[in-house]
Amino acid sequence: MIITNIHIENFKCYAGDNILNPGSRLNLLVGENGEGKTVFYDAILWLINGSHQQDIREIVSAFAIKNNTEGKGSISVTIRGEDADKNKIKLSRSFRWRETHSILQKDSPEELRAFLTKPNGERQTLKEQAAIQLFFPPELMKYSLFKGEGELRILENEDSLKNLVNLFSDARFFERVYDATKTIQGALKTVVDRSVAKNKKAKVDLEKLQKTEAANGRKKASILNKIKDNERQRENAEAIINDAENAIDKAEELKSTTDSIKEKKEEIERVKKIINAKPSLTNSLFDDLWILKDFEPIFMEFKSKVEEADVARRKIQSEFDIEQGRKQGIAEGISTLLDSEDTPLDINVPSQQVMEELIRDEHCKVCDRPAPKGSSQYEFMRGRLEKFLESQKPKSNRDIEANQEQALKHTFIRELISFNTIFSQKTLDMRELGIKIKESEKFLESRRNDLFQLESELDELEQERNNIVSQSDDSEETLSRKLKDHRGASNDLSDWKDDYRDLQGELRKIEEDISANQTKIDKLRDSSAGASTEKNNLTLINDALKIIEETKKKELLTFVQKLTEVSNDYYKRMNFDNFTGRISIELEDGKGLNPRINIFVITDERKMKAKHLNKSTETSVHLSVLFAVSKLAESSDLFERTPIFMDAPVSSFGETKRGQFLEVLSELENQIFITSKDYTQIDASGKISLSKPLNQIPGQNKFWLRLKRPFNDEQLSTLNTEIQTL
Amino acid sequence: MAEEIFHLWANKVPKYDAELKSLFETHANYGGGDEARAIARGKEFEVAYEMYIYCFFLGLYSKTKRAIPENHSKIDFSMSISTWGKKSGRRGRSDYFEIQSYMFMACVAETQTNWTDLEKGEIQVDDVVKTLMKTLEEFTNGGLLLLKEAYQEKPNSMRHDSSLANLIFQAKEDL
Repeated sequence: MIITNIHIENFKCYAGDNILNPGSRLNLLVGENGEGKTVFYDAILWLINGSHQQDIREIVSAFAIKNNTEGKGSISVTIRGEDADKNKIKLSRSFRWRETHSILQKDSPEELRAFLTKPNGERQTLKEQAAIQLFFPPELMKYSLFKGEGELRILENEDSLKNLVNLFSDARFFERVYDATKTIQGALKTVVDRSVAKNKKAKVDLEKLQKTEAANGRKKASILNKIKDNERQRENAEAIINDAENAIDKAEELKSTTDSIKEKKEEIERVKKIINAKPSLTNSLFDDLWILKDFEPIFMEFKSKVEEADVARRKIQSEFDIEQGRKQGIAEGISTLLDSEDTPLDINVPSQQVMEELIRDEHCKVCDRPAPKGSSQYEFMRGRLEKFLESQKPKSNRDIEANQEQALKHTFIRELISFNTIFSQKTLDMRELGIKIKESEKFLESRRNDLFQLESELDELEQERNNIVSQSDDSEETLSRKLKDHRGASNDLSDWKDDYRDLQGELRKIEEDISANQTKIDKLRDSSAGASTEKNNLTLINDALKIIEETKKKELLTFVQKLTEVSNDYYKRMNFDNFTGRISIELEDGKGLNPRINIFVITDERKMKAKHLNKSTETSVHLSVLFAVSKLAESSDLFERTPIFMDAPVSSFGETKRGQFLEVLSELENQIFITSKDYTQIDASGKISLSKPLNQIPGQNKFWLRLKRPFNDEQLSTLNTEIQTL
Repeated sequence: MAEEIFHLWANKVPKYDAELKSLFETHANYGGGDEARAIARGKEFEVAYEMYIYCFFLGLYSKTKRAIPENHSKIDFSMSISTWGKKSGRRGRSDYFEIQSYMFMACVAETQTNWTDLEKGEIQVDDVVKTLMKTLEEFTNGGLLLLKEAYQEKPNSMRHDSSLANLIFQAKEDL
């Protein structure tokens, strides 16, 4: 059966008419939380199950009630479908409602109506349940409608799996034969025993043996009960141990991750210290004189100005000195010394120390020429030094008087020259500033990059730790408590295993007793009943029963193997590139015709029940078995392909796994409706949008379930979901 | 001792446009307090005169010399240049004597002065110091206006530690 149309009218947040025309394979319904995904699923459930005692305010759209001017309307959910024979089926549940004086009530009875239209146009009304069964066969209903991951756990229910196996394996054919044969065996025994009773001694012996048979039966039942109880206890202990062993793995993983987080944090602190130890860039402008990076041209301007002023000053001074010298009759001497220079240098240039060195070494190191004793150069240097030393002597009154007349009143230019001399030596520092700043920036940038890298590594580690904790379904405290429980459970398990061995011994003994007693009864019947057709028939029937039991068991085994194989195929695809072990579906021995069936996952020589795995692995195990069931149902020819509805079945899956899951789903031939919140996003302003481009969202048929804006999430009457075909 | 023009200049208290006071209040630890206080208050400049110095160099490098409008009143921090950047109370920071010297040299370089007339006593030293201060204040005013503009244009990015350094390094390149 393929659903071709779903029509939801005024159901909960779906106000007005909402129509979805699904594809025949995977249909992905995306939407934000609270925008109508689960309600879509609820609508299908309501169609199947009806309202029962439900308050109709809970199901009729508040938006429709508020915005309906007539105060009345209808609610309905309708699905249309087509079966393999091209018959068209319409299934619809509806009622009319009316609101008077704020009281909402049904205006017509709730009805489920179904019609079938044959390809030749002939139309017939179907009975309610028959119509529902066409879409959702009751045997398969619990394997085709799921709300959240929790409901996928149906396979953990012993009967569910047993029913499933009985439904699809060929073992089901032996069921009736077995029952009929048992009845015949009973009847034959009665007839044969009546014949035995004709002999008084034999009658007493038979009654005695039959009493022993009954007592042994009770004893066996009691032992079986004890065994069952023991199994339950063992299972509990095993669960605790598995859980704890799982937790030990997780705890070790957790410890290693926590250690790495600690190391990473220390490293981050070290780098932060280095970064913080560096002064702020603004402070460096002042403290490290970075502010002078571009100062050199300004300084050169200063230098040029000052030197120009100095030349002018010296010229003035020189002219003045010559004039004064002449006046004082010593001009000749000075002019001898100074006339050769256009603008004489100050008498202290070069310094006394330098001049003494030049004279001592008889070499002018300014012009790099020898100045041997007696040469004019040597005499020039000596004369200049003497003149300087003379200028340093205390002046006589006459000198002071003579100098009352000065060419220059101030020495500001000399002050500026001393700035020039001192800071000229620093121009190289200014030039190097650019390199220093770049190096410092590079260093800081590199440390900042280190920090960024370390912080993102820390984020990853913290995420990893969160994953470990969340995958284990435990908090860190619970993990450590589980480790403690492990020892207690191990001791208990050892005791339960000893008891189990004892009980198995007792069971074997009682079965031997039963068998011996049966042999005695058979012998007594054989010797006392005399030759009769019934007696021969009873022997035949006993043999036949044994054959049926053995064959059914073999058939079950074959089916389980097949189920395991197909389940693993899906399981592997859903966990591609990810080691998750393999599924093992096993029949328990020694349980006669209806053995228990368990689902395990085997990894690294460990065998765990699905429910003891982490959530996403558990879900993928269940989904794999369900898909396998669906595939086997299809090949059994018992059922048509049935649509599968899943509401948020893989919320525990990560993005990769979710993608693989949807890929597997898209390959299934079933019609599947799956809701997911993983492809939408809400930004800070509350605007909802698809988080991925449309072509990156898997599935051929995509629908967006979303509330029309604006709405107030505290007012039901403002909520109205629309179905948008993407 | 002969008087030194550097000291005459450094003992002056430079002024700025009162209209731009809020700029100092917003970005500098205006009104005293130590560096820890400035950091706690999230100011870019630990002291107001640092911002003054910064703006002087910003104006200098970008050749933005703007006279303070005649009709604007002038105010100051009541601190002479020579007291700027004194080591006491400034943990881990450098003395600013050198920076003061460079500012002085920049003022000399950028001011038209007939130094020989000054040496001869034909013009007054106070007048020269005044023109040097005028140069200082006009470049600073230019820098302040540039900084104000930068804060207005990119209020968020200017909060980064590197933004002030980048702005001043960029000043010359933008010419």
